[in-house]
Amino acid sequence: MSKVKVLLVDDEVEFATTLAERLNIRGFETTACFCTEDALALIHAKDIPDVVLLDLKMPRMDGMETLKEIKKYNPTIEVIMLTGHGAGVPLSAVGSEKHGAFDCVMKPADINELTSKINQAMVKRQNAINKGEGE
Amino acid sequence: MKPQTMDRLRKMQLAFVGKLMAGLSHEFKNHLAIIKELNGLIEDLLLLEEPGQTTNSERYKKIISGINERIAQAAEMCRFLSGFSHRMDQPLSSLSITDVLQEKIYLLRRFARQKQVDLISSFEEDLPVIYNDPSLLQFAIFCIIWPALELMPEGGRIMITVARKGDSAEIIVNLVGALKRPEDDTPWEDMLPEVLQILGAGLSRSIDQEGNEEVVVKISSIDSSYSDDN
Repeated sequence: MSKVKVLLVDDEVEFATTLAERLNIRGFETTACFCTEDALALIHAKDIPDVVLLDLKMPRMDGMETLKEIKKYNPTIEVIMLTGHGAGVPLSAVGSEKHGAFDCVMKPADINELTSKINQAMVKRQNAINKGEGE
Repeated sequence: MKPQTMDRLRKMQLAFVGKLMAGLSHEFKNHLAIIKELNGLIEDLLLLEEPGQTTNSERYKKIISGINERIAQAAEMCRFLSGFSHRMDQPLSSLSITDVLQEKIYLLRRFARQKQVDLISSFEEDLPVIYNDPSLLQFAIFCIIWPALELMPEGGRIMITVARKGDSAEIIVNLVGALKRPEDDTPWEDMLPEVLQILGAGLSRSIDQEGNEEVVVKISSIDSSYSDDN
């Protein structure tokens, strides 16, 4: 079985590289990008990830705009937002639900919670692909 | 300066403080996230090693666990600080009284600990969401609790109970332990009636024979024309 491809987009280089390494130890194939432009370029170059972990607050093009772009390009790519927001963080609180984000995880994230959400997102993507959506 | 201009200036000043504090708490969270991942990576790498390869591995695990606990505590502080800061973003909003007061109480806990006063809170589950000024409500509760903390003897207790009363919420603050009262109200207390008037909230106070005090604030949604009129 092929590895789940994760694209991690966060402008905090040390955070992104460390988390990517930890996800790879857990069997994912993770690529870290430090700006949204690079992430979108990668996706447009047909290096399609299964799941994108996307920081909400980033310079220039923020996470929400990037989420819209990714979903417009390929709606089966599942996106999990990472946020430093306060209380509770339901998707609606950061406004990403209506743009198709799979879920939202608060920083600092728990690695087990994160891997569980990635796996759930992957199931959703696989179901969508099986139904012939998006790809 | 016109009173209206002064009032607007104060509101903007509050929003400015809130924005800077919120920004700072986000930054803290970013640093905590990095520390957490680096700590987690050390743990992962230790787990990947063959048994016996690392001396003191149990000690490392204990240290890693200690760091994780501190990160969790600091992250919780940041969460409350961030929530508290964002309350100042706009004068009026739909608010959960539980969230608003929990933030305030959390941020006052340290002061209560220093004074060796118990700060206890209890919230009914079915509280109404009200439209009012969250930052000013926090300030009103501060005007009750802060003087009590200053005047209460060690071993005193402050109990905050919030219950639903129709579309309103009743915030009951019990100050247990006779306060060493000065002759006049403290600077915070004398602001309280005015603050509650702006919030459209009711106030009643009573003191029993032992000197324990009960302060009741009844608050509901405010007319949306408030921000224009004030």
